[in-house]
Amino acid sequence: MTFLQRIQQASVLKLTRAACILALIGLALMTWSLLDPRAIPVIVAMSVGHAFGFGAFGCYLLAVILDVRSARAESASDHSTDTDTKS
Amino acid sequence: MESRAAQGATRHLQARVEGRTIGRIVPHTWLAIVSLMAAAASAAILLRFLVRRPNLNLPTKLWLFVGVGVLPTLAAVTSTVSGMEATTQREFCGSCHVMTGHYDDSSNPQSQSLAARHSRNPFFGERACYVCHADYGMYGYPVTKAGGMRHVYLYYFGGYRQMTLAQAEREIHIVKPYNNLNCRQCHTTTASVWRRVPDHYSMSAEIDSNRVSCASVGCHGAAHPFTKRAQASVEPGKPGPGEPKP
Repeated sequence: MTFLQRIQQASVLKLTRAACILALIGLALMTWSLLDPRAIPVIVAMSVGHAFGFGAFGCYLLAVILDVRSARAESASDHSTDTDTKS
Repeated sequence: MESRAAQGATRHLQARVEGRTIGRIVPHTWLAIVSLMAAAASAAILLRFLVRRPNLNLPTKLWLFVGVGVLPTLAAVTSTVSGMEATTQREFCGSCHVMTGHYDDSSNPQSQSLAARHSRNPFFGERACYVCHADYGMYGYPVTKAGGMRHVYLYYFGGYRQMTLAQAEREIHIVKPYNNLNCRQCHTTTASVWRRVPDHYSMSAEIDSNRVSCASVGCHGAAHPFTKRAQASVEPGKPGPGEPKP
C-alpha cells in the first residue's frame, strides 16, 4: 500500500466517523424540535439540523468516492504487476 | 390591563410549578412518532459503528448508508412536516409571552371577541391564529412562514422579549392592515344574505379594496379588543379603535 493509499484509507475512515458524528448531532436537533416544538428548537432543527444532515451525507459520499477510487487504483496496480510478471 | 398581565404571569408561573410549559405541544401525530423511531434507529446504527469500529466492508458500508442516508432523510422529512404543523397550532403562537393575552382571550370560553368566537369554531379550533392570519393564495403558506420568521427575529432581537405583557399589548401592532380576503375565505361576499346587509352593500368597494376592515369596531371587530383598549390608553384624549367615539 502506497503512502497516498494510506492517506486515502485514513481519510475514508475519518470521513465516515465525521459523517456519523454530524448525523448524530443533526438527529439530536431534529428530536429536540419534536419533543419541544417551540420557535427556536423548530427553527434550529430546520436550518442547523438539516445542514448537519446534509454535511453528514456529503462526508459519507466523499468517503465512498475516495474508497472506490482507491480500490480502482489498487486493482489497476495489481493488473499492471500481473502483466509485467507474464511478459 | 395590569390584572391581565398579572393573570398571564400567574398562568406561566403555575405552569412552571406544575412542570409543564405553556406552548409545548406533545408530539402525538404519527409523523412525529415515525420521525422519532427513524432517528432512534439511525442513532443506534451510528453509535454501534463509532463504538465497535468495524472494518469498512460492504455490509458495514450498506448499514452506514441506511444510518447516514436513508433513516436521517426519513427523520428530516417527517420532522419538518411535523414541525411545520406544530407552528400552525394556537399553543405555538402563545409560547411567546407577548402573545399570552391573545392566547388567553382566544381560549376563554366566556370571551365574545372575534378571535375567541372563531377559536370555539371546530373548523378553526387549535389552529385559529394560523387560519385567520395566514395569507390566502397560492404562496400563502411560505409567505406566512417567512412572516413568522420576522416575528421570531423581532422577539429575540427587536426588544419584544424584554417587554412586559402590558407593554406588548400597547406597543405591538399588526404589521399591515388585516386583509379582508382572509375573512372571505369562509364568509362569502357574493351570497344574497351578505348583500342584503345595507352596510355591506354600501361599502362593498371599500371592503374589496381593504379600505374598511371587516374587523373594524362597529362592524365585526375588534378581533382582539383588549389590545385596542391598551393602545388607546397611551393616547389620552383620543378615542381608540376599540372605544366608542364621544
